[in-house]
Amino acid sequence: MSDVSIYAAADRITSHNESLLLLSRVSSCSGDKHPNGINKCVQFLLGYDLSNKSPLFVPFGIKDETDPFRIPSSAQIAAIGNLAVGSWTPPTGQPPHGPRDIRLETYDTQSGKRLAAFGGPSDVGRLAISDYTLAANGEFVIATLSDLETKQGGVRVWDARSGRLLQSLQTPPASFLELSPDGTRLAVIVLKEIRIFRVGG
Amino acid sequence: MIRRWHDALLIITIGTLICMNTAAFSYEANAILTFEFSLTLPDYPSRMAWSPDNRFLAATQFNKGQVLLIDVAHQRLSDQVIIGQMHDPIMAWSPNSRYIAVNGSTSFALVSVADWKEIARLKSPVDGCWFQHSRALAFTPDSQAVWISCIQRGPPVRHTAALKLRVPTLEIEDRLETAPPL
Repeated sequence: MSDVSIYAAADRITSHNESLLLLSRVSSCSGDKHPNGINKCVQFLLGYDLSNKSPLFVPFGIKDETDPFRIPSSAQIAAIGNLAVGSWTPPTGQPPHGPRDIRLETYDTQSGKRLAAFGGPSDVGRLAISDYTLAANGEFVIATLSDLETKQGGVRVWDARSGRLLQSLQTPPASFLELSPDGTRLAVIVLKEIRIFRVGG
Repeated sequence: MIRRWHDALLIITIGTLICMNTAAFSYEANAILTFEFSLTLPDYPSRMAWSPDNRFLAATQFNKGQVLLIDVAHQRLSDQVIIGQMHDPIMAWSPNSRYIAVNGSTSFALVSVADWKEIARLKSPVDGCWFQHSRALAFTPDSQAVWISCIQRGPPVRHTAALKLRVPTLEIEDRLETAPPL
């Protein structure tokens, strides 16, 4: 595959004690094109400690086994650096207003292995993931969900390593979320509301 | 540290516009998330940023330069302030509580929390690197610099993935470069 372009992106900086961790997604794209014009790309995850710009792990590539044109659209790293989560957006060829096939995948950054996949249509039905975050210890992933057509939404918590659903809350459409710096509170935007949750477990 | 900026705020009372809800939600045994309270805001909030002491939550509203400050400890909206006009900006609070960095993707601003004045602004691109509309935005632990991710377009060799900008001047202090593995 001859590379024709490289695209680098980072989605969130994670802070941990005196360190700032950045997970960069670097796509290396070939000239192979899908009929809809999308280039075929391989995406690599690269983690850095910004305090000294040192790599956190050996970079590894991630790909969709069923659609080579599909790549993650965002990714984050846990504060302890050993686990990453990526979101996969609808595959190529899907109508822009069709079902929202978004899912999350977690990876062991030391081995590059995929640990779990969850949050797709088989898990959440018509709802689609709006936003997500990793708990500081990397133990669980929290996501907000929404379906603006039915005005339904929710908040889900999954075990990051097994993908097991730990908690499900129904809400109107929920969009962005933010964990407090100490990880004890979660703020969620639900339409015009901001809902505050205590984080335990 | 929070008290210092909080005392200096221009306070605008909008209490009648705010609806607080502490009604019980469904609870689950061994639940990780437990509902605490909610606030209904005058307009749709878009982005949020926690203060470093976890006591306050800043929330932007779509298409407005307003930032609403929620006093989480007292479960109320405390203040609203105007910061630089940006569409749906992403914010980050400095660890010393003195600054809020505001990323509007086309520009990036540093705001002093003591008086909510913008003290520096950069327009994208900076040194050939375009700011991303992402949460890859954070101050260093000593609050002396802020990292922001960016995208460098052009021939593929090594790409700048993030810039370290000195506070409060926003001069480039360092950069992080990435490249796909060989």
